[in-house]
Amino acid sequence: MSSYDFSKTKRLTKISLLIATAFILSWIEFMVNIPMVIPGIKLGLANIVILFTLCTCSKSDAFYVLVGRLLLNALLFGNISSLLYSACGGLLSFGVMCVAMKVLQLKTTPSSILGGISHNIGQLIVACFMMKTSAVWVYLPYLIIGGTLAGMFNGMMVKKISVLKIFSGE
Amino acid sequence: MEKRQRIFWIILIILLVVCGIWIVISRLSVGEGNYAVIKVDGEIIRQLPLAEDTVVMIDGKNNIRLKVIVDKGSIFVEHSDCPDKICEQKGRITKTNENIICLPARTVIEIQGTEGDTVDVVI
Repeated sequence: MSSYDFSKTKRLTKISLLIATAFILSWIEFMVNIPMVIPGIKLGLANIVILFTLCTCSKSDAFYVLVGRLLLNALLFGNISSLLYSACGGLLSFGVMCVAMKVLQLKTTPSSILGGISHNIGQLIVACFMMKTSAVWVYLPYLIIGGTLAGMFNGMMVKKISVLKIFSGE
Repeated sequence: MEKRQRIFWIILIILLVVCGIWIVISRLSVGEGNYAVIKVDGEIIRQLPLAEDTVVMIDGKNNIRLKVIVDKGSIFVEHSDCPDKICEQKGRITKTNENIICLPARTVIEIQGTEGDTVDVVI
């Protein structure tokens, strides 16, 4: 009995827990329409969980959480095109945050800001192809500023949560 | 380590300043628009002169219908069947370079100074 390797079970539980948290945050954002200066801009609270996983666990854990969240979101309150938007933004932002953290060795908040900006750029690229118009790029400066502010907020949240050392007992 | 963080913040501030300047320039360079061009999936389906008050129904993609109103030189989406309603929240647009975009319906409403001479009007 004691020889059984629990690490896989622990990892599965941990990732599931994180996906659930990310999903609930997306859901809250979907239900409670937090008023923003520019219509359509969101805080991207779910990115708190992705960034937290990236900080405290591993890259692959964060990737699974991201994919799980994207699929759940699309299944429950989205469709194929909204999946395309969120997946493109999410994957680009994940890639940029990985590079920022692990390669450039930036701190949490700077990585989060870069993640926020790249998420918006990813979505703009999809919009550009879907709408077959370059008119969407008019929003780029607004989205860069919005992404910076949202990234700053999320980064500070992750910093606060990381101190709790939730997964340190593994 | 510390140096990298500092370089990051400097680049970020430069980027934000550039964005600020970009926004100011795009705000200043707008002119009075005369025509509204409505595109669905990249194709121009309507051109409306802003001087004439009208109400048009636009059939967007994914079976989304938009009720577009031209009123007193401005154009706005009064109702859309889409779930996010961002096009409705955008409100009235009057100047060139301004646009209303409905992502689910793949519909773009742009304001232009004069009627585009290179495009055919398809009604």
